[in-house]
Amino acid sequence: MNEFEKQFQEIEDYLKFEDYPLVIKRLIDFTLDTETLSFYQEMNQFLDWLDLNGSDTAGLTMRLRQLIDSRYAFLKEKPQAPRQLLVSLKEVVKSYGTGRFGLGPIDLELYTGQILGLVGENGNGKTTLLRSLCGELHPTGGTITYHFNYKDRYDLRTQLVYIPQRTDTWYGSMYHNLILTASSYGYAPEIIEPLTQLIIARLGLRKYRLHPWNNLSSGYKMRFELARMLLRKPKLLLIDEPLANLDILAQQTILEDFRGIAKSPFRPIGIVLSSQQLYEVEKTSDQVVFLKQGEQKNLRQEAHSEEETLENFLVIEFESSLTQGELGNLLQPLGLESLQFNGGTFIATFPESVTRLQFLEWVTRHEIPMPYFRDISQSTRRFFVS
Amino acid sequence: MFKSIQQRLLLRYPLLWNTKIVPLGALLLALNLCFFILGFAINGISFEDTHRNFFDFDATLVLLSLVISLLILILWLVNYFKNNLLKSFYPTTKYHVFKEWGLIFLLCFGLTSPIFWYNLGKETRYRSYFSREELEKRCATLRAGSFFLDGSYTYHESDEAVVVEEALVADTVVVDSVETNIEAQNYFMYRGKKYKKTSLLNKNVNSYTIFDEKSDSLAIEKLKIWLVTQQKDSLKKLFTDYLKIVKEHQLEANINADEWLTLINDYPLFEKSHTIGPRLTNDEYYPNMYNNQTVVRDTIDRYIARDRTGTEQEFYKYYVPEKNLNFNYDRMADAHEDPDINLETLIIPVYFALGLSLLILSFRVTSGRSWLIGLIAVIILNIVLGICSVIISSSYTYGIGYCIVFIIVSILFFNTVGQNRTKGYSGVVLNLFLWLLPGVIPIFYLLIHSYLTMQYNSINSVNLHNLKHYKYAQWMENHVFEINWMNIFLLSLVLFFIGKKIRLWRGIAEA
Repeated sequence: MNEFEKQFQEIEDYLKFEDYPLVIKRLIDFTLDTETLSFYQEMNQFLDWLDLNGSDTAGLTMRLRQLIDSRYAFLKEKPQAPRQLLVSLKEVVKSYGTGRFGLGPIDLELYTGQILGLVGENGNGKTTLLRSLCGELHPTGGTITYHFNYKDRYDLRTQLVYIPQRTDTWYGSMYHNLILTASSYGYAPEIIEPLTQLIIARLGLRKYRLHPWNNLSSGYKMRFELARMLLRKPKLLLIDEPLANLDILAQQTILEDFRGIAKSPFRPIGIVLSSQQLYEVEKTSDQVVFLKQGEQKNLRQEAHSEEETLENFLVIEFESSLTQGELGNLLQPLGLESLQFNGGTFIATFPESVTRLQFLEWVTRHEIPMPYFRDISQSTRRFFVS
Repeated sequence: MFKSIQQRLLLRYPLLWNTKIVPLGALLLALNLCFFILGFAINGISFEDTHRNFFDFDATLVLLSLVISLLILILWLVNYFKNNLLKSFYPTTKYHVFKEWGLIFLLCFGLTSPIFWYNLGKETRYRSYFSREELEKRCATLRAGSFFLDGSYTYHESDEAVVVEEALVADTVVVDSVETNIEAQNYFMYRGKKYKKTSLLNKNVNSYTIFDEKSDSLAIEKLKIWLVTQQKDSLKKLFTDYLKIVKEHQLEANINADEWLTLINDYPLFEKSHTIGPRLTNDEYYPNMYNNQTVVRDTIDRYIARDRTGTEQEFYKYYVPEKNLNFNYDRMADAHEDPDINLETLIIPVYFALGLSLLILSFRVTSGRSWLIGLIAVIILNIVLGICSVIISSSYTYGIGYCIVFIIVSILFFNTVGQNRTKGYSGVVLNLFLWLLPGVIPIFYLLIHSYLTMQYNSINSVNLHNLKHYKYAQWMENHVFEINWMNIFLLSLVLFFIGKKIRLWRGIAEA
């Protein structure tokens, strides 16, 4: 089953369980994949119908079924984009002068359809790395190689979209800004409006398209940035702290959107995002890079990588009402190697031979109170606490 | 309509949409058209006028156009700066910067030119009264008429004045011998006869710009012949034509053609011809510059009266409305022959537009911070160069300093683009480069002109016209406007190529 069929099956499942918002989102993604005006218009007509007849579940299901079938029939014939190396960094260093902060050396590779998560404490080089990747900063050492065609430096930067944590204000109507973007990127005039409307709908912005920028919440500003980014068809999307200032639900939605955008079977892009939300980023990313005082620590590597980045231990983060001493006594027989108290949570380290299941059995057997538990053996959380 | 055009442009030509060329261009066209119409409408010739009014409406209009242009500029910039394709790294063609500058320049010209169109409207109105042929005919009559009115006399070199020319026509008047040199200076020779310099035959004419000196000389000669050969019919026809023009413009003269002829025709010496002057009112008395102490007052032709302020003034007993006619026909003749609005004066709004467009373009392609630092740098640079010029006391100092700074700035900018590493302070450098660029050719002009002037001033030669340096300097002075137009053309050409570099520069890393 290829990526398209997998994603198509997901839509079928969403429809089966009547998860209509998700069906519509994914359906818009597929419509965008068709890159065909008639499909855009059909989808927009459906969205208009939906605005007026949202409560007609039977009609909705029928229409969605038709739309899914027509897109499947069209896209199954369309060749999928091959997995391609987008950018490679070799010993990239960015120094701000002697005795001052320096990033690197950084070595990494990013392919189409991949999401790279950058995590680390504040001031450890996440933004510097993102800015270096988007061409805003010139590395003082090493090389960044972009593996796609570009005519000159300016042309390269048109294909790299960097969304900073504090985005620039958009002046004028949001809709006109998006149309201007599409027009500048050379879409055919007749396609621009239907396409823009689809992208607006895809990111849930139909109600907000005529709002002034300053009246939008951080989450919607980020969504408009993403809408603009989608029109720009970048090879590489670089986002600095996209989850900051978002509620937990909005974070999940945005991350799901990133996955959908990056892993399009027909228009995949590479995404590099930085965040403090470790677990959410780890869940979404294909690679995670932890930066500690500018130095790179990888959590996951590609299959071909020979580099081991973490020692093999079972590391459990948990909360408990017991004291450190009591917990130490209870967990010692299981092979506890260390127990740290870390601001409200405990971090317990066991040898590789101990499994997560054994730990849970031990806790249950000894009735250790534990309202929260997480296996962080494969999480960059370990870098933060060790 | 504009909304739908803008929508079409937004979908097809984002740069045209962004610069708001259609709505603003239409607004500026309307503004300039209004100023043209205004210039045409309010500048009708009133033959009652004898001089420019104390309250000059033109000056008020300059201020008005400045305020309107400023308001439009601010409104435009607020809208224009909402989007910036280059700063957003949207795909652009290699010549995007040049195209954007071209559009900015066009709009800036629309903003800086209302007064130009106002003046064009004014001169078009002046030209609309009579065709060139008709005006020439009328001016010829007025010019000939002025010969018989109070005015200046021809100047004769004293030595030459008494040289007896070969008489063309035999005459009965005996040429008096010259008793003394001083007395000789009061006479001049004409067709073998001696006349007093205050004789009517020695009068000048009031000319118009549509006539050249040769034409004036021929006209004077013809009038002299009419007088000495007593062609009274021709003279009377001239006075009749003159007074016909007076009547046509509903002006007042207190003599008719016969009286005029009688008053001036003091044949054969024309020494006691009566003086006919312009009609003066108490309100508009102007001292006649020729009516000074060196000329004997002919109290027969003048009377004394008190003007409005109670001051005693002289007025002419016999008058025609010469001042009114001169003033107004001068304006019409100038509008035909030597209009203020031409390719030479067009360069003024064009230069203003050029400067403004480069200020806006540099802000667009760099950043507000770089732009402000650049502005301060330019001010400091000018202060330093000014001080150096004073200390060194050389006319070359400023120009040389300017060129050196321009060369340094150019090297820094092209080096930044070539190295493709980081922009650093090159934003400031780019601003300086764009601002200094239009001044390079004019500065070279000044340097070369100063050099040439210095060269020929240093040579003690009577016949300067034969000197090579003088000739070059003269050529430069005569072609100053062509050189300036060439500067604008070359600047456009440079921007065409530099625009590509600026676009590449935008792609360079910030730090």
